[in-house]
Amino acid sequence: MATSSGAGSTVVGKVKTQLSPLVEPVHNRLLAFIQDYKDSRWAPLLIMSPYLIYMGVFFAIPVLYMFIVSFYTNVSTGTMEAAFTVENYVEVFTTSLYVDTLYLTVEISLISTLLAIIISYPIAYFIVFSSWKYSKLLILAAVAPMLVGNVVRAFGWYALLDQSGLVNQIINVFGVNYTLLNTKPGVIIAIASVLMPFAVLILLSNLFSIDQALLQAGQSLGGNPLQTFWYITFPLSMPGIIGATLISFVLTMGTFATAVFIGMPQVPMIGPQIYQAAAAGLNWPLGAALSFVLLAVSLTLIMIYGRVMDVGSSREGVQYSFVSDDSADIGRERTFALSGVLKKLPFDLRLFGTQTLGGMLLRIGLVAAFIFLLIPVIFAVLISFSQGLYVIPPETPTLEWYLEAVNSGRWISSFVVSFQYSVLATVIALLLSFSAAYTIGRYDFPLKQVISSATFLPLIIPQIILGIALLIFLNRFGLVGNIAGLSIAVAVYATPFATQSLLIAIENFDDHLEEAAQMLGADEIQTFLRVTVPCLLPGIMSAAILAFIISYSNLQIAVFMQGPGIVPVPVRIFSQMQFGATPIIAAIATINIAITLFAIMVVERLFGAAEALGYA
Amino acid sequence: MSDNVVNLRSVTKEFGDVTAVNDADLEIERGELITLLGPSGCGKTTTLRMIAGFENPTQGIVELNGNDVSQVPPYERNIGMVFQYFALFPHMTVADNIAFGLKMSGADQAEIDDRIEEVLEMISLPDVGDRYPKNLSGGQQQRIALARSLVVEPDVLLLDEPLSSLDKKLREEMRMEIMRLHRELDVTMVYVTHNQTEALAISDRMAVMNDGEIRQVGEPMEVYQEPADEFVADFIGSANLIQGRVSSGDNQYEVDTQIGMEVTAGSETPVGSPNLTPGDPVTVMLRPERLSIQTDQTDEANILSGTLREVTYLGSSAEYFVELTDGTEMQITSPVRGAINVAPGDQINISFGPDAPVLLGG
Repeated sequence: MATSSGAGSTVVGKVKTQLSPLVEPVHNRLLAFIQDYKDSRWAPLLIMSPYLIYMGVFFAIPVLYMFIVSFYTNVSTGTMEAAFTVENYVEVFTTSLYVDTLYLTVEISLISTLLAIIISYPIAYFIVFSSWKYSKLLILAAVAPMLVGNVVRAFGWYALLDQSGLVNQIINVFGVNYTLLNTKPGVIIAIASVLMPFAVLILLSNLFSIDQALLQAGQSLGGNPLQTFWYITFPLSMPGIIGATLISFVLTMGTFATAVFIGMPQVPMIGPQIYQAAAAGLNWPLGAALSFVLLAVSLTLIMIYGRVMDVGSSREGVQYSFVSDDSADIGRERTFALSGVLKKLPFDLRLFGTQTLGGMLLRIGLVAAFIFLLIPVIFAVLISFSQGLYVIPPETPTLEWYLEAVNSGRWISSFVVSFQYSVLATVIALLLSFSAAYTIGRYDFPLKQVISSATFLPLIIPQIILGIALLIFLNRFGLVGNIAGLSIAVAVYATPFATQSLLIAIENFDDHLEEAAQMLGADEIQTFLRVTVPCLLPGIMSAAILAFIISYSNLQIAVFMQGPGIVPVPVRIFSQMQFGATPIIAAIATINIAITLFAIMVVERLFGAAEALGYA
Repeated sequence: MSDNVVNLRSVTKEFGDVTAVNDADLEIERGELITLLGPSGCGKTTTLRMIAGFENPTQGIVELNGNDVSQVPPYERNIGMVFQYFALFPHMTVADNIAFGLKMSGADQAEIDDRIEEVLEMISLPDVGDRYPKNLSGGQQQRIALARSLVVEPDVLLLDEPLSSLDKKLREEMRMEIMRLHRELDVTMVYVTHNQTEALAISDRMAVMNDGEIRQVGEPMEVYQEPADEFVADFIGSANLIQGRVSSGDNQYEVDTQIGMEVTAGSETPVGSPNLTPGDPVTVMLRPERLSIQTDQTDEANILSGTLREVTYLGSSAEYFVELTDGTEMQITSPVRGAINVAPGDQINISFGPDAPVLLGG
């Protein structure tokens, strides 16, 4: 080892890595730019500008424009005239169909949300607190149905609840003949199942943030497991429950695929009605007005709920729902007062022990909850190998539906279309989410909290509203019915998922690595390319895969952006269902499931999916 | 020309309304190991980061080898840095980590390979080149981090609390390792720590900081024995501090203290306030190990009486806590061997010669 240099070694202007003469001027100009702006007040705005501009143009403006359109007059199908009239709103409130539909939608949403939370809670609880070795893998099982897409699951429930479906076959054994398809209970069951992955995810992020030492503290103060749950875990998980309730409720209010397949026409919900008005009736002003009524009703109910649950904690709830924060602080104050309370409690049920009846019941309930969550997906797969929709399990497995699908030019063209725009949307989502996540993760700036919460807006407003807003807006620029329009539109919805995934990676990134690189002579650009990006690669990859799956499985936006010859796979499934379910749809659904599972496995193999989702 | 590697000239760093470093002057000589020592928030890390180039001073100049580098980015300074949590690149092997700096300076592959082998040998980890950092222990990772920053032959090596994430035994081992590398390579080191024992053990010189200001720079012995002010006295080692006023001063000082007793202090010039005259406020600093306790009378120059409250045995020595008549608590450390037999509640005399007190100007 040579000794450190003696006196007189030059400091400034060391020999640097040789760059090619082509790259060097660009490199130097960029470097000078970075050095000028990286610590400036405008740096966050500058870095976030791609995201802000895109979301401004393709999210904020379309929604605003739709609001304006809701006051336009509809001249004839497909054409509207600029005006200021409230006649569309009058029509909504004077047509008994719409009023009844709205009422029914609220009713179904409330019940199915409640059901979804009740069934999801034990799943999330088990995943977080169980000592079972594979409990974290259950996160995948819970989230996979979400990624497979609503169309596939709605199809699965259709086949289950139909007159000749499995559910009816089972209750027929007991001499009951009751078809759940096209009934309110049927719709509620299907929607609750579809909601569960979202509810589980939100509850998970909250439960994971509870300091487990608090629970041990509770038990050390004499609380039995049930008391510990009731006085510590449950109150601490309230923000998660509130968040999950809010998100689930908003999602249900805008339910589309499930509402169409299971409910229509006997149980009409507002989502399908908006679609009817805008896409089938081509009355965009009416569709816009209906959308805003839906949004207003949802927001009003959310605000009432917020009031009831105490405004502060509901805001926290929305926070927790996506951004897992440190909720343990709330708990610390409460624990001190616990010991007295715990000792006074009369009951001493060891519900959460493994050897007891309670433990058994919990486990059975857990398995049932998972079945409820996964059965539509499993069912779709089984049908795809069957002779017909209701021959379950398949008597002799067949591939005939797959062959039929593959031999159909229309399905193949749909796959091609779906892949094209999904890849493009993924690229857009990745660039935008990096711009947003890097700024939020690395900089402090005014309104940071507000802006980082606002990145979730495209997820929170009912997708059907986003779909119709983008339709009305992008149509002005000829961006409906082509790959470009589909990519732009779907990216708006995929970006928040990618942002969240990247944000986790960026927040876990140790800034000192960049400093270490600079100490070793790497300039800002070299540091970024050789250290920052490689270290964030797992996060970038999982963001990309997530964005792809979300884009690929999206129906509610794609259905508005389709055009002649440009029919995405979920949209073709949706259209086929209008003419009745066939096993070909099951085969297509199974292919989608396979694609999704493959993508998840890639993420899991590369980095561990639990980690990618932020639950390290 | 002085042979200083680093000069800080009236350096101030403000973050918004907060002044992290206030008008600091520091000269770091070539080849020395200097520690920046102080409680958290004292500005030591900010000072280090200004030398590194991660922060630019709000006012003042940072000089490296006589050149003003205040506005030069870190990667053009030829400085090495070792971080508390190692900051090894997780996506690179140990060899690639070490090669990084050499690649950045345009070394060719053959040279890089030779140097990697050389430094791994130097830190006694010759066979880990192909491994990834996560497969190494904390101590090994910190050795690699040291090797990575030394391989580029920096003009000065900055160490930011390099031992605080290691357990106690490893900490001592690594401390010896850093001292050995410092000795063998003759590299200038600036070492940030909040641990005074570590600083006393490792430093050629130490700069004690508090509230963004450098309070005292000196060799460990000097700082311990002649602290510049109450903060330094209290922060380095333990100190009994008694407020008082000089009552007479000639060859030796007499101090009227708040505890109602007179203390005689020797003729050594008190640090910080060389010319004390009668009436000046002064703080009498007494190191616990310079005091002894008796149950009977002695003829020492200074005797304070009080009640023994607590005895803590530390193996080779014991700490006695004595409450003086006015309620002031004094701490005395003395060897266990030959200790007198006392129990809490006993009346005790604390005695010390005129050379024990250090007077700190008030």
